[in-house]
Order: sequence, then structure tokens, then C-alpha cells
Amino acid sequence: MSNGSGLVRTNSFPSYILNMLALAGICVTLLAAFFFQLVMGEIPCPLCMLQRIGLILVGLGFAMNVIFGSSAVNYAVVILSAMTGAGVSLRQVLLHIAPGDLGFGSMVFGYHMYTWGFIAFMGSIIFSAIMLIIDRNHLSGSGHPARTALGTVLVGLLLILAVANVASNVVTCGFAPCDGDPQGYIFQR
Amino acid sequence: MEILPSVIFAAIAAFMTLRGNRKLALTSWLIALLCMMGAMEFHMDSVMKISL
Repeated sequence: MSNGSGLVRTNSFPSYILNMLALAGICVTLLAAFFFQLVMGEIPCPLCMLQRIGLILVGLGFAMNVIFGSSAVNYAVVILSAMTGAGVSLRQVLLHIAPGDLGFGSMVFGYHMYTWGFIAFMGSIIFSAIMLIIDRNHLSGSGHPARTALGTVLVGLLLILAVANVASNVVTCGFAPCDGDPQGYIFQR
Repeated sequence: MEILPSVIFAAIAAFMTLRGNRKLALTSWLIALLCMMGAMEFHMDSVMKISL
């Protein structure tokens, strides 16, 4: 499909929109994590930080689909990142699964955030599998998709959230090994 | 400290995606994923209270 500027657009229309929605979902999840950290005062544990990184890496796959056009490699990025992140989430779920354990952090709609993390990672894998079917005729990744302002803004937001997580990691752990049960930021100790 | 490299490379990958450099974005993503696995090895070694 030509976009009028001489460039060939390899993204199908639903694919482009759905990948932007998925990227927006990842950004909202990361913003919610920062809401609980900055407003509710919940300092992220190492496993929480690893799940955030997993979400950023999943978001990168969607971002690459938005910026470079749909590609099987980009969906592989999503699936591999989601599997890694889900491993961390599942580990944290199992850590608190014993009867009497109240879990770590506050609950959102009845589930702890690491449980929602596991659901998000599994959802990303299922989404990618469905998108691989929808995009089966548009997976070359060799064309130049029409770049929209909204797509650029969403990828820019992902970048800002990634940089914010770098800062959060530094003020939480400093340059020492992260404490398994963080009691405060480095400037509070 | 052990988590920092993965989040730094994730940020670099996002920056390279925004700049339109797919090769560097994929390379940074791969390094970030490997660093994340290293951090998982470091932080996921305690014994759990359940029997699998």
C-alpha cells in the first residue's frame, strides 16, 4: 500500500493501530508502577524492577512494529521478553503463595501487582500470536511504514519511562547490590 | 547495581528505535535481555517455602 510519499507501507491498518494500543497499554502499566512508587510510597523490590524492565523490553517489540513496520523478529522480541518477565512474575507469585503470606505491596483490583505482571506478560504472548496470524502477509519488515505523530509520541514516552527507571534504580539501590526488601531510597538511609 | 545495565541498555534500545536505527535497537535489546537474565540469576536464588 502506497502512503502517497513514494514509500511502501508494509503495516496493515489494524496491525498498526493494535500495536500502538499495545504500546500504550505497556506505557500505562509502567506509569501505574510509578504512581504506586511516587504517590503511594511503595519502593520497588529487585523482582519488581526486573518486571518493569521486562515490560519495557516487551514495549520495545511493539515500538519497533510501530516505527519500522511489522516483522516476525519484532514479535519474537515481544515473546522472548514476555517469557523472561513472566519468569520473574511467577517466581514472585510462588514466593508469596504459601497460606498466611500477605504478599508484597498493595493490591490492585484484588490482585498483587506481580500477579497483574504475570497476566500482562501472558497477554503479550497471546497478543503476539494473534498478531502473527493477522500480519501473516505483512511480515517482511523491509518497507517503510508511514510514521504518525501519535506513534512517535508513544515511543518517546516509552523512552522517558525507561530513563525514569534508570533513575529509580540508582536512587533505590545506588551502585551496590539491591536489597531484597528495600527500606528506603539511598538518600534516606 | 546488577539490575542497572539491563535498564540502561533497554533505554538505549528505546532511543535507537526512536531514532530509526533498527540494528542498534535490536542489539541493545539483546544485551538488555542477557543482562536481565544475569540479574535474575543473582536475585532468584533463595529457597522458596513450597515444594515443587
